[in-house]
Amino acid sequence: MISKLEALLARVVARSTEPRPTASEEDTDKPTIPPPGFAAPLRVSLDEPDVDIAPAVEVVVDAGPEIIVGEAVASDEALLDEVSDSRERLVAAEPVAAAPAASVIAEVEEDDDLPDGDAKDEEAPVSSRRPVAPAPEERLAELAFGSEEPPAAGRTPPPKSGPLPAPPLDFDSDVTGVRKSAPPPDDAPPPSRLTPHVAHLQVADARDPIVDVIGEAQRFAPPTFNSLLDASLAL
Amino acid sequence: MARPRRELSLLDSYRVKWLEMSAPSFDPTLAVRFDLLQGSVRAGWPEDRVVLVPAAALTEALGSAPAGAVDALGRALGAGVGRRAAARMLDPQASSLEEFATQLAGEAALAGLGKLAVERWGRALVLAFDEFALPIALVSSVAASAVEAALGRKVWAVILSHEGHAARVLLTSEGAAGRVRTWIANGMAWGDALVKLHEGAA
Repeated sequence: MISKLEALLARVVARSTEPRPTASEEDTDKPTIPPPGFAAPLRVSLDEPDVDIAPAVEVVVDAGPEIIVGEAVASDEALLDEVSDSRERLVAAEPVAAAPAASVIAEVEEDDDLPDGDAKDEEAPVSSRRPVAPAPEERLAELAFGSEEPPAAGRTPPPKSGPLPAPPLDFDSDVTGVRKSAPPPDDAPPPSRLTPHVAHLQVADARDPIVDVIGEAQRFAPPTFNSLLDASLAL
Repeated sequence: MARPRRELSLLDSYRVKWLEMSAPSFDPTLAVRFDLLQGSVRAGWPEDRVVLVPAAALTEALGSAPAGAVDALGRALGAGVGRRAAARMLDPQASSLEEFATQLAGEAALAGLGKLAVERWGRALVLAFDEFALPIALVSSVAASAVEAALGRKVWAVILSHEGHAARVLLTSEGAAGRVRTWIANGMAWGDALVKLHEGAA
């Protein structure tokens, strides 16, 4: 790749050393590219080939002689296509006047100066960038818990894992027959606290008879068989 | 505290063995000896020579024997049981109800007379027999003679109830035995007879 670029650069330099046509011959037909010191930005789009920002392209190699890319570029277009990759391409277009370029830049600058609120609505590119709009979980959280916290400026961090709050039920109570529960009384404790419910033994009357003894326990308990025989003989 | 088990001997086999458990137990070791050379069977201590007689044969013989002979046979059988049971107890007079019942029932089982249990109904002493192998007519004489032989005291026996080979025998005085016998003959339930016997004593 580098070797090809070097070959291209050497070829361009070689062509630049060839005698130029006079200005009188060229100026009548084609406009020249503004000099590098001109305020109009000359940009090279390498990362985003789908977005054509600048109407004109100039490849600045160094502070050497001025390079005018006109027909020469057009003639080397096949070579450029050969050298460039699928996503890296030098876009050469017809040079335009300075005034339209300035207007384009002005529009771009106006976009950069948009307020933050509008900047958030900027649509994210198709690439791997995360969407600028808040995540749906955050929207659900705002619905469930309100939006007391200030909204985070700019892009939001990725959503955290964990349970999601259930979305509020949306049903027609007249159709389903479900009614909203009555609000808790004012004197009820806050739901965040747990209060113990103590169950005590409820005795109606302590004087009620609990044990009913019928008869008497046998008082006679012979320690020996012989004593029992004595008792039985005494009957 | 558990006593160490003594060496087994013929005499010791008829003594109460105090092992690790305090509850009395019956040890039938060497209770019956078969001398095949002499062709004899001996049981108890002192040894009594016994004869293995089929129970059916005895029942048939008793069926045609007079009442005195039946009573005499019963007393002989009971006396052997009581005597051997007393030999197993260190002091039969001071033996507890459980210990006495255990040894007496063990000897009755060795003799093949059936299962014996001692019951106490208030102050009344009752011997309950089950699976008695001989005619029920012998059960009262067997019960009375067994206790008399073990304790050396005169007792009277009355059959409270009997059904099949099971019977309950009351051991009491001569007068009480007569009254209970009369009440039961008049159709009184044996339970009510015992209650009435206690009411009269009170």
